[in-house]
Amino acid sequence: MKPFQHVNASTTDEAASLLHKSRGKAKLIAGGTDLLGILTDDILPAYPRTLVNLKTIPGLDSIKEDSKGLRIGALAKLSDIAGHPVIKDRYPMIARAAGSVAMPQVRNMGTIGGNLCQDNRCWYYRYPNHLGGRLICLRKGGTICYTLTRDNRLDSIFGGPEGCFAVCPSDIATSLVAMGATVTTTRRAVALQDFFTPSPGTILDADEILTEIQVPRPREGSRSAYLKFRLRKSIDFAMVNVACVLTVEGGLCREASIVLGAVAPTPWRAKGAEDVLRGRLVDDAAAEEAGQIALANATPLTMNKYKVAIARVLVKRAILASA
Amino acid sequence: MTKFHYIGKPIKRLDGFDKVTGTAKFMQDMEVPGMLTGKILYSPHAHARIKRIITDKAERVPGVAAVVTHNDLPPGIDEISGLEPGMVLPPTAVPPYLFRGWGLQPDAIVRCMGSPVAAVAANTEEAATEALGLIEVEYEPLPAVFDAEEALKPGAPQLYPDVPGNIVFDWKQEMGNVENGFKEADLVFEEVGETQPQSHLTPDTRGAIAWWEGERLVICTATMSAYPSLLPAMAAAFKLPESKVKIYGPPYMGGSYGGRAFNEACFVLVAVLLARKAGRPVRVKLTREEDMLALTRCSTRLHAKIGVKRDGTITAVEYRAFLNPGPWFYPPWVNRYFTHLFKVIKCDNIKARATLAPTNIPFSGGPFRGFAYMEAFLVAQPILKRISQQLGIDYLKLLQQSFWRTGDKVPNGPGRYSVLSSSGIDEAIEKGRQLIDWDGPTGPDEYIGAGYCLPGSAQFPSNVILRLNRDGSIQLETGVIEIGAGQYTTLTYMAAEAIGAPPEVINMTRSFDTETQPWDGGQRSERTTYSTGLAIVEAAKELRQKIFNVASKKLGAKADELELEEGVVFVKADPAKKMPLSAVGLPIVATGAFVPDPERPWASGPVVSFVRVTVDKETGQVTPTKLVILNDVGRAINPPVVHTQNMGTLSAGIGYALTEEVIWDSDGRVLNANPQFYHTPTILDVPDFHSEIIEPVDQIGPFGAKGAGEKVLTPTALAISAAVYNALKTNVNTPITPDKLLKALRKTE
Amino acid sequence: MKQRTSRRPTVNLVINGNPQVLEVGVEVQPWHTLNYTLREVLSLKGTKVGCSHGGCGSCTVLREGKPILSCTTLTIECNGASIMTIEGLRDTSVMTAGGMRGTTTGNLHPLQQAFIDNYAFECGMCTSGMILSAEALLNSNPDPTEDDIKEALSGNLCRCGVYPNIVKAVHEAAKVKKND
Repeated sequence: MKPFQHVNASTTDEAASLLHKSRGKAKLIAGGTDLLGILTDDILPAYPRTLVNLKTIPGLDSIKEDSKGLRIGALAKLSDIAGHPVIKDRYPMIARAAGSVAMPQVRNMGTIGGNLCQDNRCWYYRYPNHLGGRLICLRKGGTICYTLTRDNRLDSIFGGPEGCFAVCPSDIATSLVAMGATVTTTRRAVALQDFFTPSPGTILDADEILTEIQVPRPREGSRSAYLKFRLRKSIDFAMVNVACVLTVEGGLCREASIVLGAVAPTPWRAKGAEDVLRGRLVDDAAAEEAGQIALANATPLTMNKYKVAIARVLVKRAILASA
Repeated sequence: MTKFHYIGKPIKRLDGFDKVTGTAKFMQDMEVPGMLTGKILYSPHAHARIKRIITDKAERVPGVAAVVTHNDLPPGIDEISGLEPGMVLPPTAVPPYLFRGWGLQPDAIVRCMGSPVAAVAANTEEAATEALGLIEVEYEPLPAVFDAEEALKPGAPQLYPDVPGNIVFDWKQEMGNVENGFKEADLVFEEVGETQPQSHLTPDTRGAIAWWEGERLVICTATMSAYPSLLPAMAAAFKLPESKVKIYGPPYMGGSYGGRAFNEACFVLVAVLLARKAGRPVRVKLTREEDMLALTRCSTRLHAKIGVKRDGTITAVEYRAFLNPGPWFYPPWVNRYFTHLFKVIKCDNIKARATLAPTNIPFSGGPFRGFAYMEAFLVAQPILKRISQQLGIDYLKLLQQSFWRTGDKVPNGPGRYSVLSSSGIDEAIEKGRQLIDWDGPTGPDEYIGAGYCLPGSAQFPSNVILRLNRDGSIQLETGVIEIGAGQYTTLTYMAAEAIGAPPEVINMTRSFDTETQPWDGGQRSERTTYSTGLAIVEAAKELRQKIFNVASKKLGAKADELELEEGVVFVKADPAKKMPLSAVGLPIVATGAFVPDPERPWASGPVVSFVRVTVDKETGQVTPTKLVILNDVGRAINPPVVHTQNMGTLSAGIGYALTEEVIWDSDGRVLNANPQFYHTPTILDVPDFHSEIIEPVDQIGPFGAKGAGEKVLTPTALAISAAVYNALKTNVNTPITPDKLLKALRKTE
Repeated sequence: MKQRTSRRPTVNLVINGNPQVLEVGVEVQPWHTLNYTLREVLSLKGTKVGCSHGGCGSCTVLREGKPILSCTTLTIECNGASIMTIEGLRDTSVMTAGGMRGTTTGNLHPLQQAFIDNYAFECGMCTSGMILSAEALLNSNPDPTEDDIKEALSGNLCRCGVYPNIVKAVHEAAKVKKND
């Protein structure tokens, strides 16, 4: 890695102020599992002058439950979330999603905030500088998105509103959005689904810090399922992931929340599929139909039609698993 | 049956202590006092001419000791042939110019993305990296070609002025009469298939430390062919006698799998040039991404046509192959591919043509755990499956037609045959059939497949020296490096057995050293146990004779009346008359050699894999659930290590069949040079596994041993591919990823 | 220990039970990874370099008993941390040069012995990380199932592919540790 300075922050205000004063020359570091890879490969035109360490801020990694629901500090480690007894018991989908990230070592280092704010995994965006030069793609201020005319097998099947077709790679985002999570930053509180933007990825201003994630208590009687599709059973990012929360009463679906991940630049809510389930008996036919509807508006690129098929099946299976 | 004292039973590995305690030294752990860090600048173009390269700013960075470019290459480097002793070139081939394609090129043309353009040596990595960023290069991009068949078309971009039409070789041969064979056939089937490049992903990446001591060149690197390839290449490059080039290895190699063979010279050269210019030792250590660009398994395309009678008899086979090695063209090992075309399907009438055309894809063209057999059979196999299906013949029966058995004359190179010394194939098939329950029921979406391979083996010389110390201990000197397959243990125990001394008193030299240790053909093609083993047996004979000559005076018996067992020399007729080895009292040296002889029968062991997989036809995911490997190794010197080789190579076979592929795009850019996106199996991806050793009697190898390791990859990948064929009734090129499988399903439905 | 005259900040580590004080700007730079510090500054070469990207697990060490990747950890962020590397597993207190009492090699940890006994390695590059991931597992779960073992080791690639033997070795070590 090229040189940088390193500052331990002791409060979020201090960290925000350091970001503000640096005028874009400072970056936050939490678990570091994403950032240090980016710096090692030197993929961005601007290399940070300073890293501001959030891990030294007391209390930012707490996990609490109150009457409203779960409150997870942005610095909570993925392994602590995956193994937390309350989360495993009452929010099992979140534990599963956190436990499906990368590999055990990464989960012992990576934080929930970092997982939500991680940069995308597009092969072109990530092409290492030391292998002949980084690529200045559209997302980095260049003029073209390389995937469109080249290899797009892993990219969005629901378009690229800002011209970038990289998908949101977060496993945990999918499940949190499906649970109706909200987030707090040093500047505002928003629904998690509004936290994400196609490019640059989140609504965070240059000097704004994600501090907490809130997950409302699941409805009485609701069930959930999280499915992650990948080539290997460990290490890999999702090709597609699906989170589904259903409330079924008397055999009929009262409430449905279905979110797909790794299919679009932000977590993708399958509203049509949710609508078609409400008031219906949740059986194979309904799940199949919901899967069809969820992907009906997909606009796959030249090499990723298969993701549409996989996503459709995963939606169906997630519905049946949570019925 | 011969009774053995030391071999044939479980032996704890001698490298165990070093490896479980972290004290084992690999290339990444090697250091030399005063060494600098070398870093390489790579090409951003697949094909371009370097018009200008300015290094002044880089040279002025504090801490930088040297910057090298193509201008620093020794003259004539692009004319150095890497032909190894015993390797046969196709008749019309361009010589195997070792330094062409990847690395600094004297004609200032880069021929693939990720080929070195310049390099820097500095006292810190930070300074070297900073300097790389200050080298200014002006390129003139040239048109590029990425497909071997395209490269052969008129008007295709040309890679080398002295390789007109991009033809490195175009090799044709016919055995029997193929035209008549097809006339005899009732049915003729055709298939076209492609095989992908696989990354060796060796756990330790490539690295070398080089320095000059006046006109003496010293190189430390972990290579599997120091003597046959790297040594002559370096000597020729710098016009030195081989005796003035010392190449030695770290005690252990962090994985090879074929990836540490011929091409090592290309990147070692960078370290040597930097060291020469800096006047200091320089270490070049590739990052994982660089390493993945520095060689992959060769990609191929094969058109196969097979004629068959209604009873399943194969009457004619015709192959047309295109090999795409990237810009490198090092054909000797590709001979194997051509050889195997005459071997995978047993038939009297075979015609084959293989063309090797350089292209601008990233550096491919490498050997890899049994390259060639699988590549050829992956395309022939779906034809056999179709024959089996259409004619209603059990697939195993059809496959058995192509088995080579003890005493068979196996085609082994153009116009050459070798007699197979032994074959346990029938026993393997019978056992495997039962273990996988071939005729038994299958679960929902479960399919069974079988694959078979009779590997090639490289015939290179080996030499060893045995030294008896005055205390009765023994030095075993070889040019062998432990690549992980248990070489130190196997060879030490073979020496113990052959000499008649306890393994505890024998020390085998760790790694090769071309200055002090004898020539060895390298740790490849399953040759070490066999070739170096035979050299050990010969040296042991000489050592015993010399010991007996000395002992005969002391024991008052003739030399031929003596025996040596478990470290004690005794009179055969009167075992009470004895003395320990330490009583010999004289240092003794003995040597042994293995020299390949084409007339000698060929010791090669067939291997069979059986697999059960589930195929999720909705998502396209294939999951192996059970695997059975049956490996004919002749005599297993250390049976548990044969099992480890079986399970290890099988894992790479699963990867090849299902997930592993180096992906490049239409610009020739490698996109997944990173283990996060290069999907080699994890512990969760390897299924329930059963390994069997088949040990037919063999009179050729040392103690009846044959090779054991790399061949298991081939039948495993074949078996998985065959099982998926059974699910889809159509072939899917490897790796069988969901996108391809779903596409194939859409076509068949 | 050397005298410290400057008042530079330091990184205080406990490595395999031994306190280490590293001066920032001298022995540790802000951009140094823990992997670099262990290998190049402290000469603990048993921790390997695999991919530097969190994709293979070769560089695994234990931090407060939990496996982490030393290649994507900054040393400067380890102040006050307790780190265990493969070098810390073997009991070397019984070592004597002549081997008259004790041994010349030290006592191997049950996992180390089980890896030897079960042929749970080939080239040996993944072994350090593999053993440390297994050690963390056995400390938190003394009686793991096969699935527990596989899950715990799912971030350690073995390119030689001897996974089945590794599972056996961990099982065996678990038994030995329990009986201790």
